[in-house]
Amino acid sequence: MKQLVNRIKYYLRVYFFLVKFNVMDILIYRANALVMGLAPVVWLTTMLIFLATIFSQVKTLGGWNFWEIVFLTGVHEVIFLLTWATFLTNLRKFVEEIKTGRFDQILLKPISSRFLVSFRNLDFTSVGSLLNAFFVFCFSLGKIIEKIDFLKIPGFLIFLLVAYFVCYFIYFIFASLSLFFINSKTFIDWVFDATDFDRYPAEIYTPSLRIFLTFFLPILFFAYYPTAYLLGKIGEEYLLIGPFLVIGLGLISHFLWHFGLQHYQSASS
Amino acid sequence: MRKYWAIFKANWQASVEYRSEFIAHIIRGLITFVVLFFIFKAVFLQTNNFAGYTFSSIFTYLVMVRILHFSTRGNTARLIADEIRQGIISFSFLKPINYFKYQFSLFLADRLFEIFLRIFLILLFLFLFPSYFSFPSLPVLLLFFLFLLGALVFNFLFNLLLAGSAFWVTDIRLFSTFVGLTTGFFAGELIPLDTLPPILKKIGFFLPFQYTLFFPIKIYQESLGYKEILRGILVFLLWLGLIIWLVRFLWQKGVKRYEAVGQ
Repeated sequence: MKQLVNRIKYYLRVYFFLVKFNVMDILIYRANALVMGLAPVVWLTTMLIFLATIFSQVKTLGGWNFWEIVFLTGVHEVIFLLTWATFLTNLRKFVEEIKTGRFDQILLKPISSRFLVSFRNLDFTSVGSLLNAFFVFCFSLGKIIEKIDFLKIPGFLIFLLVAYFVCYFIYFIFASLSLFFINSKTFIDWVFDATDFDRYPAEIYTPSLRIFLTFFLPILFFAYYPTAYLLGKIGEEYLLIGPFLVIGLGLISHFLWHFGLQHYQSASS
Repeated sequence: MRKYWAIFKANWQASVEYRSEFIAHIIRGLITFVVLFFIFKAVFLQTNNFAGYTFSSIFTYLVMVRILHFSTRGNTARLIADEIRQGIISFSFLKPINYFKYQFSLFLADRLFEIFLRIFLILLFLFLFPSYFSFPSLPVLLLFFLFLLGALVFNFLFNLLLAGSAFWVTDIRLFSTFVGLTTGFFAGELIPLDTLPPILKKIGFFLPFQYTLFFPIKIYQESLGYKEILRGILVFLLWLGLIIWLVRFLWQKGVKRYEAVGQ
């Protein structure tokens, strides 16, 4: 147990150092970081205009009203930006490093290569847009507050935690494919685009697609299920599926990573 | 002209070589299309008319957006800006070629391959959804293709304009994404411009980006009268003239300022 605690402490120390290093790096190019953060703001604005245009013609979409979907967008954006800031850019970089052979340098470092591949950089450029997404989240929450059962908030927070892990494992699994196929960036891009399914109520999709997006590529856990749970649109049973999914995906990612490392043929050697 | 033809051919071969990346890109576009398809399917369960569009016309619009995406896309600006930033553009300036023509040959070869792939997509949609998706008459189709050519030229010039800003700012990637999202929206990439709220509709109809997507699609759907088409062509030509002048002005100033950093 003591050994485990020491190990966690060690990794937290390393992570703190990496964060410090990234903060210093971003402060050198302050203006760049600021403008970089503007792109998601524009994206979110166009998204809200799109929704407003749709709702100028209809009252609900899949049984959800305008503010409920804006809230769903807010949840989605918060989760997306958190994942982008913490590991998504790192995993994309990892896929590139497999292609160029620079991944070998990571393998030689005296630390878990999976940890380094996933969390070595913290992308602070998304911090500005995270605030923006958080504003959308809070503002829309204010509009639907009367629909929320406060007893469901702990469950909602568990769902958000599940969302982060599911998101990490899915992206990590697809990034790990580069150990087999050299260029798995395409797969990551597909998953990235498929998250669009999670921005809208799943009620608009066909039942078979919903099953696929729940159990096979569980993208709906990123934001749809947490939000639907909080708004009382789905039952408690979905809360139980989450942890099983995290464990299942965690195991798949673990085996795929180790199996992939055994088959890894350095591009540089 | 022969040297630009050679550049075109070389880049065409490169495009064909990386065809899997193009196909992957098209699949990415299809994912967005499927999501939008479900959204509008849900919308049309409640209404028969969405700001003047039927389900069939909105479906055609969305399919055409995916097919014409190539006319708004392009990484010429980033590539040229990188050359400016690293000072590599000096080598091109020293060569006995017109740099803009050289870049246009590269751009055209890159886009043409995508056009072929997307024509395949049209045929696929025609086969799969014959009741939703239809072909217009031949004269309209010709006009549509002519407009597409104009849209490609506009896209190239706009890329040059963006790239030219690299003479002043270090890294244009910062705002090229920002500009890309804005221009895409005002081109009608997400939703037809005529369904937008009044103020945004006005902005969208004033800006030239509508001529790269929204306007050609409206021509394709035969929902514009001759007068509107003629006025559109004239306004678009004016915009093209303005952008050509802006590109020349910006590049003349920029090249004088250029210091070939790192070379």
